[in-house]
Amino acid sequence: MRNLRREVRRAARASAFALLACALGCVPQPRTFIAPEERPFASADSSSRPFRVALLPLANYSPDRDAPQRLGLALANELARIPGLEVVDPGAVEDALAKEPWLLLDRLPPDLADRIGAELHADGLLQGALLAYGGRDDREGRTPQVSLALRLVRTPGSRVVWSTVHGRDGADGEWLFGLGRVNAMEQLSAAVAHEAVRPFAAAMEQAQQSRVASRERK
Amino acid sequence: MRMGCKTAWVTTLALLCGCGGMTRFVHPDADMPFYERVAVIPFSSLAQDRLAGEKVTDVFFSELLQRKFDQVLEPGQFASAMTRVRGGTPYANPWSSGELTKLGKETDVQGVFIGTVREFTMVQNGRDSYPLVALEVRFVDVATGRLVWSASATRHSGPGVPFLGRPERTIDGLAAATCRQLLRTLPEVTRHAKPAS
Repeated sequence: MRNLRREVRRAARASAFALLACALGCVPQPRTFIAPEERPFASADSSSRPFRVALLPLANYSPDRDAPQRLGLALANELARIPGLEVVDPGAVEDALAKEPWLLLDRLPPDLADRIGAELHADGLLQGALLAYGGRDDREGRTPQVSLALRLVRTPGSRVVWSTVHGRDGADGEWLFGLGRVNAMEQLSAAVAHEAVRPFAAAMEQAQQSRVASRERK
Repeated sequence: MRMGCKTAWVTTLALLCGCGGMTRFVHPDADMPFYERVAVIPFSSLAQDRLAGEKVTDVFFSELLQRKFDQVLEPGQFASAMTRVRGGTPYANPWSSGELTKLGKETDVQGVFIGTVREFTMVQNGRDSYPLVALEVRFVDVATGRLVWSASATRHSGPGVPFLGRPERTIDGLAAATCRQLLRTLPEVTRHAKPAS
């Protein structure tokens, strides 16, 4: 009888922990597409050089004029940390864009995308839009919200090899009495950038490992 | 017994929370495996947010990539073709079947998705606000201008049941969920392997 009681208590404790762990980790995950090609992130000449990506300024659908620059920085930081990936210098991207009179940066015509890609020696252009960068009113005051859509387009050819849509609300991670809540916009932006890029980073890492393995086999 | 009844009510309410009306139409002769290359025409917006069409188009494009079409044309590539066909006329204006045929020839797509955002707003619920999204999407055969599939849905979020599910708080998150819900009603695209000759 005593054993049974102990077992029940242990099961109850385990369930409570599991519930808490679920509540803590229960934040929305990005919806990601990775092209089912064999080597979507191989450099154009298939050599061992890193995959070069140019991050274009995000199209802004939010009322905050500076939001794309802020989130762009967070994204650039996340991308720079991925092994096997080289991010084109933002200054060079700006110079290349300045030569082309085109405003819709998330709707680049293929010939223009190819030209920019060639000028920057980039294997892919990372384009996207900032869908939301603001907040909503709730009982705590104002809770921040950030949403973005990104797609990596290979150049030349304009084929989408990675695409993601991710959005977070400051209260998503809250589980009890405000614990886990994010009130700072900068903190939420960094989290969104990190979570949005994570599946891409994992795919890049996997590609890198298989490249090393095949080289060792040779 | 009374306890069981209460549980059933709570479960039903929790399931109903966030669900909205949905309708769909599929042409009886629809042959989805025929459509290998497809594209999305930017959605028009009837909502207060004039940019809602652009936002939902981006979300819809990302969701569409997860379906088994051979290729979903990159939005930039398709936008330049639309400009060539239409000149300065806004994309949101209705497309004639002649224009769609021209667009199909220009881009080599067999079908296009056209959509309208009817609602895209945050609604006050007590002291909190939650998103409301209403979408209507059609899939049109570009060669004939025939409507192959159409679906519409209205979804709203609300306070969730603690520990039993997280309510969708961002409007783009709800739009993505609505796009997924609509696309689930699209007939299967899977192609059968061609027999070896």
